[in-house]
This record gives sequence, C-alpha cells and structure tokens, in this order.
Amino acid sequence: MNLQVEDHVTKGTIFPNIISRLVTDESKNDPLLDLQLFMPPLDESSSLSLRLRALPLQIVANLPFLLGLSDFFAVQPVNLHALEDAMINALSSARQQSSAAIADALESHK
Amino acid sequence: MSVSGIVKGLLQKYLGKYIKGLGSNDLALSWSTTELKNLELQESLFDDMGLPMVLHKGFVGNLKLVIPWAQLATLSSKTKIVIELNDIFAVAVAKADVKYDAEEERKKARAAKDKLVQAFEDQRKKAMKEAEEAAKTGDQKAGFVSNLIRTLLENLQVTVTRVHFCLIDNSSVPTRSFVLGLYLEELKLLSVKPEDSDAHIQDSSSLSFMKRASLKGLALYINVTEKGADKRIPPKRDPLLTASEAGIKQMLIDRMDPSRSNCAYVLRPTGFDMALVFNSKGTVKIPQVQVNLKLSVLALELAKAQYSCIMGLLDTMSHYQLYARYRSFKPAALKVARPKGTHRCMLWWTYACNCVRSDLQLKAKRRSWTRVLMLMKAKKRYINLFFDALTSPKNKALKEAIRKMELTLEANEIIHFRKVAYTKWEASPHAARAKQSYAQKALGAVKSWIPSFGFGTSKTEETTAEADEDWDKAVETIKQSTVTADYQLKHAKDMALQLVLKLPRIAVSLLDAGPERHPIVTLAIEGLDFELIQRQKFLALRLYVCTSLANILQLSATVSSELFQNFYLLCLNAYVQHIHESAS
Repeated sequence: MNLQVEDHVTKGTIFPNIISRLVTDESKNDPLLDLQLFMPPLDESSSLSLRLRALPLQIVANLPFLLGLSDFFAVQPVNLHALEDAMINALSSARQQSSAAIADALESHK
Repeated sequence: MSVSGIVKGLLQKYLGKYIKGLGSNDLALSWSTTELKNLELQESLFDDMGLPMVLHKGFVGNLKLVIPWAQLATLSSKTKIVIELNDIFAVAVAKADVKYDAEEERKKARAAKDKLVQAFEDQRKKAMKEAEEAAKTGDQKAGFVSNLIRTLLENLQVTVTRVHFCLIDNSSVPTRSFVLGLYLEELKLLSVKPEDSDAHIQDSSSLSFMKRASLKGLALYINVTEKGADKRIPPKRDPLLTASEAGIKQMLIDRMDPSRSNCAYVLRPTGFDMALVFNSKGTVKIPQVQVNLKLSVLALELAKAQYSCIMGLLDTMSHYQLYARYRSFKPAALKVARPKGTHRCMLWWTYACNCVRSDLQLKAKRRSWTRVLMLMKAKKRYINLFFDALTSPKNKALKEAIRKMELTLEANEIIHFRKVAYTKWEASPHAARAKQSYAQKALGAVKSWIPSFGFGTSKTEETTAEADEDWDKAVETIKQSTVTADYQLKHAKDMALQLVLKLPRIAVSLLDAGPERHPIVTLAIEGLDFELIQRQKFLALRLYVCTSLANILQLSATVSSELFQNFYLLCLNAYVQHIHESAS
C-alpha cells in the first residue's frame, strides 16, 4: 500500500517525491488512513462516532513545481462566450438602472 | 394483433426513440427470439439530453432479444431472458456548426413542454401507487408485480460488445479542433449460480440470486489538432465526416486496438468485475444487497491541450443550455467571429439588445391584462374539458380539444389546471366507480392469465414469526455484547447493504504540451480498499476506508538550503495516533 507523487518539473531536485510515505518498522503493514464512521454507534452512546487512524506522510513542495502546476491549469475562457455574457449583462443592468432612475424621478417630482 | 405486431409495438415503444425503422412493416419478428441486424441510430438521439451536438452517423450492428413470453410466469433458473447488443458506433458533431431552424426549435420547445407535463403525470401516478402500497401495510405477501420483476431480474442476461462513440468538435476551442472518443469492448451482466462463485463472494449457499457484471476495455481519448495561424484557411475535415458507412466502422474499430491506434488516451483501457448478491430471505448471515467490485488498474493521463479542450467543451455545454432561448437572434456571422471592425461590433450590440428585449417582452406578456383575462377563461374551459376526459377516457374529440388548448398555454399553467381538475375529479363519485372497475378488470386479467403457478405467495406466517424471533435475538446479542471496533467490523448479521471496492493501482499523470508527452507530475496510489456497510432497521452507516491518503493535523515545516536558491521547501508531517474512544 503506497502513495507517491513525483515531481518531473524541477530538474536535479533532491526531493523527487512531492508526497511520500514515512515508513517505520512498526507501521510497515498498517494502512495510511483508516476511517470508520458509525451513525449511530451500536452502543448508542452518541448519534455519531468517528474513528480515524493515520500514518505520517511527507509532503515537499517547491516553487517551480507549483508554478508548473498553475501554468498547466491556467486555461483562458472562450472569448466569444465571455463577450456574450458581458454584453447581455451590461445591457440588462443598464436597463434596470434606467427604470430605477425613472421611478426615482417620478417619486421626487411628487 | 399478431405476435410480431406485439413485439414490434414493444420494440417501438422502448427503443424507437434511439433506433430507426423499428416500426417498419418489413421487419420479420418471431415470438420468442428477435434478431435485427444493421440498424441505424436516430438523428434526434441527443435532443432530449440537451447536449450541443448532432448525430452524424450511428449504427447498431446486431440486436438480439430472447424473451420466453409464454414462460414468464414460470421461469425456472435454466430459462434465460437474453438481451444482446453488438457493434454500436456513433459519430457526433458539435452543434455550433448547425444552422438555426425556426420550425425545428418550435418542435423542440413543444417537446420540452410535453415532457414537463408528462413528468407531472408520472409523479402523480407514482404518488398514488405509493399511497396504495402504504395502505396495504401489515400485509407481508409479495404482490404479483414484485415477484415478476424479481424473476425477470434473476433471469436477465445482458451482453453489449464493441461500443464506440466519437465527438468531433471544431468550435468549442478557437485555436484547436479535437476528437473525443469513448469506447468499451464488452459489458456483461450475467446470472451466476452460487456454486459457480469463487472467493469473490463468501458464504453464498442461501442466496436469492446472484449477478455478475464485468466490463472490459473501457477507454477515453482526446486527439487534439492545432488550427493553423491563417484563419482564412478552413481547418481540415476529420476523415470520419467524409468516410462511407463501412469506412467509419473500420476506422472506429481500428482505434479500439491500442497497439494499432495512435489515440491520445485520457483513460487507458480498463475494466472491472462486479459481483452482486440480492438476498431477500429474512435471516441469513449475508447482507440483503452485497456488491463486490474489483477494478483493474486505472491509468489517467492528461496533457494541457486535452485539459483545455475538456474545459472548452464543458463551457460550450453550459453556455448552450443557458443561452438556448436567444439562439434565434444570433446572426450566423457572430458564431465564429471575434469583434473586429465597426460592422461586427454593431452586430454584437444588436444581438445583445434583442436578447434583453426578448426577456422584457416575455415578462410584459405574462403580466398583461389581456393574458390574465385569457387565462381566466382558459382555466374554466380546460378544467371542464379535462374533467370530462377523465370521466370518459375514450372520447377522442375531448383529447383533441385539450391538445389544441395546450398549444397556447405554458407548462406550469397546464400543470396547475390539471391539478385543479384532478382534485375536482377525485371528489366526484366517478373516481370511486372508476377505481372499482379498474381493480375488478385487473384481477380478472391476472386470474385468467396465470392459472395457478404459485405466484403471489411468499413467506408463511410461521416463517415471518421465525424471522422476527431471529431478529429479536440478534438485536439482543448486539446490545449485550462488548462493543468494540473489531466486533463491529466482523459482525455481519444485521447488514442491509455491503459495498466492497478493491482498486490495485491508480496512476494519474499530467503531461506537457510537447509531442513526446513528458510527465510534469505523476501520482500513484496503490492498494485502495473501500468498504461501505449499512445496518438494516437502523439509520446507520458504517464506513471503513483503508487507503493511501493521510490527514494533516500536525504540521511541521522544515526549511532547507534550497530556500536560498529560490526554492521553497515545505514539509508537512502529519501524524495522528488516536481519535476519541468515547463520543462527546
């Protein structure tokens, strides 16, 4: 049972594993995460019982890796759709503002 | 009606929406076995789904149904209901390329309205059925329908082989065109005898029935092509759009072979093996529903271009549904044009003005006194007509008059009027008479069809009493026992549902934009086990996860010398030994 995240962005890094498991002799065969949720528990001592056991995990992150990741997910929205949204919203809000202004003017005229 | 006429009617009713020509007179159908070859999919396949795509070509190679109609009531474990579907291929095109058709849009709007009204009718029928069932509380005998459904499920064998769906999109992402393909080699849902089960299902001696589902060769790919810098040159058409029927089939079959195709996989061919146990017997050691799911290795790869295409497609889908009502105002020039030049800017602003104006007109129309007066008159007339149609359901003239009135009304108005009409009808003596007559007819039909096959009988009173006694004992044992985590995990007598999932390995890779697809980051999780258990008669859920993730509750940061070389180093070290023994 293992979890490993490897960094291929940072060349020559001394930490190629972003996330890795810290293995000790005691915890070699234990699961990394053991979660038990009882709703309600059999002894009815409460309405919910949560049991959580976890083992240590090492997470290392560096700037080039984070930048590489953010660059991957940076996707521009389609221009035409954004334009269409913006124009229709602008016109509707302008119309609402003008009708509110007319109502206000009528109110103050009285 | 002839035998083939009945089968044809059933096929048309359930599959006619998806497959062409099932109502044709040329179809030669037999009573128990129906086999149809070389069928075509309907062009309107995606209309109901509200997806921005149209079917270019779609085929079904073989459809085989084996239904022993005469033996449905006495189905033994040897008789099987077989459904086989082979070679389903479909090529769809993104809808931005499709021209606006006013008549087509009107038809779709009408169909959408009918669908809403039908949904209301279905909901009403369901509520009535539930009320009837609730009235029968205390009667433990299983009904004819529930027995029949159970028998059908028990004997059902479904096999689907070679399915390939392909979407060609040239419009969602301005700089790219892409082909998204999803295929599977084989899907099987088979009944399995308890003695055939392996270690996958433990203690299967006293099961009601057991099904096994397996899926092989499920894959998803996205082939991306960059458009040229010169926008005057139209992008090259995908060969799937120009090929003949046989050519399309061959191309799609070739792509399904990973060793021969050059598809850029997002999900590499994978599958699963699933065992389902349905156990309707009262006192046994295994849950009422047990699902054991063994997944194959999951390998996911995503390049930046593919990610951009997925996001573009999702954006187009949401935009298509959001702005569907404005489609008629949009000039063809604006579908692909960026706002350059005064003329195009004017077109864009005119389009935006028309959109806003249409919303205002719709609001004004709904609030106008003319419409309010029309609705008042229509309400009285519609309710009376609908009431008359309920009392004399065979009157075609009434149905036609209702249909004509519904053309001018909106879906919510129709539903409101129908609700009033139903209330009026249920309070009338006609409703009671109709219910009595229906019950007598139904009883007569069932009696004449099923002579005495032992249907409708289930547990005797003795068995029920025995089951209750066992249940009381089980509850008592649970209460008296020392409750420990191990006891709770091992104790299976009170389970209603058990889901066990085993996943040997998940590998996720993000790839760079280059042709060699070098990885940027890779994630690997090995040995993921998941177990979900629900205890019956308790609103209780037991969740046992044994996985390779960690929680982060203690934090320690370590700074190394790399910080001085413009690298941040952050070590998060998380460790939790115990979370409470007794709840607060």
